[in-house]
Amino acid sequence: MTDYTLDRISPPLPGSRTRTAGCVVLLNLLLLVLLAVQAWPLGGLPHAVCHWDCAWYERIATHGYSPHPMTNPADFGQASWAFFPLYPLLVRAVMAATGLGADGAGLAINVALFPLLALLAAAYMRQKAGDADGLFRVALFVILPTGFWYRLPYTEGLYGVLLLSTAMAMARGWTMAAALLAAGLCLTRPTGLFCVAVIALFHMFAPQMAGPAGRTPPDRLTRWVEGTVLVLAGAAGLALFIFFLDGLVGDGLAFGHVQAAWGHRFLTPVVWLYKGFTHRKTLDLAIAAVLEIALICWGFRIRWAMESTILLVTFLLASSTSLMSIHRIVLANPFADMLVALLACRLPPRWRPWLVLLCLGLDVVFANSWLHGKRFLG
Amino acid sequence: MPGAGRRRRLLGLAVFGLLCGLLDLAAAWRAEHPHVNDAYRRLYLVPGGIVNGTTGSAIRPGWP
Repeated sequence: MTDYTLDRISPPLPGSRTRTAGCVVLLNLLLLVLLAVQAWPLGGLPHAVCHWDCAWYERIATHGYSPHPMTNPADFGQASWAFFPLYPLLVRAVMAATGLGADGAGLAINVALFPLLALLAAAYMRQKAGDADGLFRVALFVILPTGFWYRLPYTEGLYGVLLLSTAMAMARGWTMAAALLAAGLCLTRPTGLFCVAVIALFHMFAPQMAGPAGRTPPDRLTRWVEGTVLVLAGAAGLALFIFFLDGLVGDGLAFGHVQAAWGHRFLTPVVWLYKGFTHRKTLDLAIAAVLEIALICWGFRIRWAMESTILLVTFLLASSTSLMSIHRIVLANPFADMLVALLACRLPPRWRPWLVLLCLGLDVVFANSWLHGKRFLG
Repeated sequence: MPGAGRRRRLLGLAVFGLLCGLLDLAAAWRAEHPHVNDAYRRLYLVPGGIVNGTTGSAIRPGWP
């Protein structure tokens, strides 16, 4: 890694923030309405979108973590310890504050978080790639088919907001805020600490994003201290969950050990990829994994090094235990979606209306598949 | 940032980092020393306890 020269962040063009916010809110509303219309005959939106992991999160939010694993033949050995606590805690807090049920609270959190994520992504892309195509870029970020996961009662929205705001807070020198966000990130998903480590290493050795205009770039010692504090604070978040699990079941790493009950075991990603291509049930996941590798390579090529490293680390971690959910784990990451949006901006402008229509069409197809319990999206 | 202010900020961060580091060390120690019952150990901590989402042996370990 080499040192770099900071380019100062220029202020946004007049009115561009309002236009971006308006675009994000309107597109979100449109997609929500489309989803709600399809969910109407299935018992309403909050109930109909709750599948797979959502049920685990709801159970944790309403009844807390159980010290006992499942004993049914279909899910023997599975337990709530695999699921990190920040999202279900947030669901619980929203339930207590609003009187909503777990379904409604989970949906409300993600409906609120996705526009916030899109606005953060818009600011991030503007700082790294300039103002050109700004509105199209953010519009595409919102309507990308991969954005579908952010609207579901899953951790993707919370994880994306925390990941992006940790990186942005570090770039601005807001170390304590970044440390708190990093601790939250590590309490949201098991890959959190690895992402925090990548952000910290790039901050220490090769910062990727300029700080605000007028601020003196930090010297190397300051960056080293800030980076180290970020990792230690992120690990402290994970430590809290380890203490909790140690008290609950006597094993602080129960969140990792219980993964075996979902069929996860360590093999190199290449082996999992080969297995994916040789089994019809996992063929779509193997294809998604190859596309993800291509996207990550392209990210490195356009010098989005920190973002691509985060995606690469996430990909390697996820694909070293199985290909299960590899599409969601890597593609429902704001950095992946930003790369896809930037890639789309390089296509001929006359393709854009068709691209928008394709995204909206795919969103409807994905929503329909999800609502009817199709497993390939889970 | 003036020299004294910068030093104070770094010192504050270092103290915060040290506290977090102590917490991390304690968690690492706890994680390395599980205190679990036999059923848990056989199922999750012994390699092959669960294979492909099912128990490795035909007989499921009893769970309290």
